[in-house]
Amino acid sequence: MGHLKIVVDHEKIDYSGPVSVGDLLRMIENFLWERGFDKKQDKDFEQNTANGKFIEWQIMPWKKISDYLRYHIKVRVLGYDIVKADTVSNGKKTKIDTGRLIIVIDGFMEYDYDHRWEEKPILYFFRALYDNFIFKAYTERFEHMLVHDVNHLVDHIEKFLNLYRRYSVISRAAP
Amino acid sequence: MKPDDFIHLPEMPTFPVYIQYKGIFDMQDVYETIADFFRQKKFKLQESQHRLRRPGPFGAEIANNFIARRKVEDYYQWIVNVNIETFDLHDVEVVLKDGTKKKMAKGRLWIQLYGTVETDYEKIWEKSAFLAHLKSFYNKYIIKKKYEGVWWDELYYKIVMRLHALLKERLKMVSEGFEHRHFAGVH
Repeated sequence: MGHLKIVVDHEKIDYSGPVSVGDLLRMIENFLWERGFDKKQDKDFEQNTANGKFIEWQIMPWKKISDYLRYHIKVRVLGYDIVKADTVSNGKKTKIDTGRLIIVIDGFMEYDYDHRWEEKPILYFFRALYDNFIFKAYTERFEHMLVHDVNHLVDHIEKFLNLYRRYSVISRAAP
Repeated sequence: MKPDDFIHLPEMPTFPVYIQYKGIFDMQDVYETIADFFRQKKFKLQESQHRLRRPGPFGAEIANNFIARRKVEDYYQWIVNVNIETFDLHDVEVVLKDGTKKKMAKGRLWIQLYGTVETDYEKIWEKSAFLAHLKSFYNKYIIKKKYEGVWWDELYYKIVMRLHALLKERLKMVSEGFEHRHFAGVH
């Protein structure tokens, strides 16, 4: 793996209440897919416990921005004590999951993913120069774009979980 | 010097995907789902290992390793590996919704899936050093886009991820569902 830089560190959502977990996970996958990310599933665990289901679900999709740089967004969902409960939706009785969810999102930028600039110390040095000085404006712009994507995803999840019923400010898209 | 030392990208593996499940499940259904899926996708399925152990009083440990192969074109084939392991497995009798009784298994299940796109599976292009270099050049420059953008993608999304989603569906997991079911193409 090339040089990995943490751009978004542990953006966290903690939620307890009714939620359709399957729909939430599909929404996250769909969101990232629509933005051109390829899916990489790291974990998909489920345990039936005495108090309900415990789930651990983690994906780390990636997207190549150029032949030098790519994004990774890591989404980790932990679900505790998930049980089915009766609810009324649009006047109809339905069953929906209830439990506690912890969602943690990280955003990474991976430089030089083909390892072309780390075979010799001098190349490694040039890469650092290039990233931090010559290519600096582009590097920062790419960071803003990643932060924007992650903020947008968090906003989507919060909307899905009905955490607020108002419009919220999301980061401005990079020019 | 072996041909593999200088041939670029002789094969391209996908990321491994995992399922871990603890609870009640139908083992026979899992086997049949895998076999049926590969039959529909025109793969040849081979069971490379079946191992049963009883290490303790908590239940059996069964390991199954499957290898499925499909020669897609003359130049490349798909290989999918499915490794299943169970822990603390024992039989239980469950009552279904219609009141009938059925024997199922209770325990922990671990499934690993990964695939590989292998080029020149008949090793025709490795008969001489010149041909091997030609193959290396072909893989690296001429078909690289198609290799990593089409063949690999199709294996990953249409086979590996789809089987992953299918198994989750059969196990009735919370995360069941396949978001890429409408991925380009009709099959």
